[in-house]
Amino acid sequence: MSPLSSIRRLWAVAYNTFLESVRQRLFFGVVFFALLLMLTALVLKDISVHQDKKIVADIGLGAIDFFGTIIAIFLGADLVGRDIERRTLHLLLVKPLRRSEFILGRYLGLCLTLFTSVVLMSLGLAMALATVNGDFSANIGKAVYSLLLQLCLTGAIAVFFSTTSSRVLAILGSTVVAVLGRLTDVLKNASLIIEGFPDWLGKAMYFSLPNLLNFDLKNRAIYGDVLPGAILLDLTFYALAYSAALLALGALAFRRRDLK
Amino acid sequence: MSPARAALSLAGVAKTIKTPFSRRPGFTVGPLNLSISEGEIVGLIGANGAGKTTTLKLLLGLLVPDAGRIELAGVPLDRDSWQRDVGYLPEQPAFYDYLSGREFMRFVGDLFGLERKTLAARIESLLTRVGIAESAHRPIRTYSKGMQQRLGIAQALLNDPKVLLLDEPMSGLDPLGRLFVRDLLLELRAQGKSILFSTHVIPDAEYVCDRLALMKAGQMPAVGTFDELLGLPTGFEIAAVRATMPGAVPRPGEADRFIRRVEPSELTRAIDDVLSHGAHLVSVSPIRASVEDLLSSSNPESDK
Repeated sequence: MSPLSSIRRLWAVAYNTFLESVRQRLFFGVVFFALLLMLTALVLKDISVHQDKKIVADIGLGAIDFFGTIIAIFLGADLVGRDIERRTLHLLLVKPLRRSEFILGRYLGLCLTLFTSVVLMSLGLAMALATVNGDFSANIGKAVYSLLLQLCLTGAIAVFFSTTSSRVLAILGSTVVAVLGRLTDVLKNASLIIEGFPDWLGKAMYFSLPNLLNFDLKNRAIYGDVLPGAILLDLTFYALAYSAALLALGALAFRRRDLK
Repeated sequence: MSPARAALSLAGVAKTIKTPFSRRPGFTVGPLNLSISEGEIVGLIGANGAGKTTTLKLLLGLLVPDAGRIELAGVPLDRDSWQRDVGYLPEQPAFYDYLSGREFMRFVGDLFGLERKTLAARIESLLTRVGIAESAHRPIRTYSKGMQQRLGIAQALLNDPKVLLLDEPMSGLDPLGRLFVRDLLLELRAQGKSILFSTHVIPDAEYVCDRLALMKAGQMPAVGTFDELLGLPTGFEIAAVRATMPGAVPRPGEADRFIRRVEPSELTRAIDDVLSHGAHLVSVSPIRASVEDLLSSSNPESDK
């Protein structure tokens, strides 16, 4: 199997995953609710004093984070498990498609879906900002990029669980990790906060769970902090490395899984 | 003269499927031994739950065998390239039903890395061959069960495979559809393709199979041609219409139809006799044990 034909297979699976999301209208529904939330921000800004741009940006970025996470978890947890349950995978894995290629292709399709939904929601945010004479600044663009990285990493968590467990467990597992990943600082010092909580456990969780908190540049972007490119580069490498490790583990677990 | 090359072979393949969190011993298939030559059709016959689908899944690596060796189109199953020359139709194939039939075929063609022009031509030819070309633009979710089965057959043939594994290919088809699949299988055999297909409908197997592999309780107690498995006929039954045959007995409810049973050595003379009395010959059927008899009597334990 040549690298070129492998790329074609990856693209075929990724594009099919994207089509699946679009045609099942799930992510459009979520994007619609996110845009609706941004509209409510326009109403809420009237009750603030000289803070309207910040409120619109805050709610807009929060909506991208929240609804993007929903898409990442619910689509990601379904990507492999549903194909096993519905037996669509039986037709594909007897073609020249390695199991690892299937997982990577599905993941890339999920990232394409996440990218599209983030672009749509960002357009909504830009329009909402324009109505309060605000602009979609470079800082907000950087925060959105960071959120996209975080969503792709969350998607990799969901795909990992999808390769190893049922759909319900995959949703549950990825939700728990997504929540704990935002509480890593708390976990690190959990033994100081919770009496009797083993210090080693807190540290182990801190070092093993993905640190999703690092990707949250919302406040820094809104309040005009300088966001150097090096931060984004670090975050990109972190997301890539962590996602690659999760997908590799998922592929390893899936390699010899029986398809009944 | 060297023996015909095996297009597919299983040697000592076995698998135990256990239910998670259950103390029961599980369902064991095998050890299975089977070899299929180029241009041969073998029917995997057995009742529901006999292990036919499990055997096909083992052959395709969908289930990982506990023991044994499998080769498809001359390539061991643990290598990557075996899929190029293999086509598979699962029982009740499941598709991405938001795609149209043509889109699904294109998707499958991309997995095989087929050149675009070749792929487009082959898709149209196959969709026409299986009779769903006019519906190929519609989402698969709008297809009837029979149409989905036809699409399943088309996708299995897209890579022009040397070996075909078909799980209940006639399932969900109307009588015309069944006839179509039977003819297609014979046509594919004439092209030199090797076919293993599972069925529990014995007339389908009798019509197209060169050999049968009987399955019972996860075992394959007997493999062979009809004559090898059922023995030579002990006699023949001649049916004729409007005949006054010596020794003929009218069939109940069919006043003008007669049957006569003869020894194999008397067959030619008996047929001449029928025709010389001005009768129309309807059928000549061998009298021997049926596949059903064989399935009910085969004892897997004694044949291991």
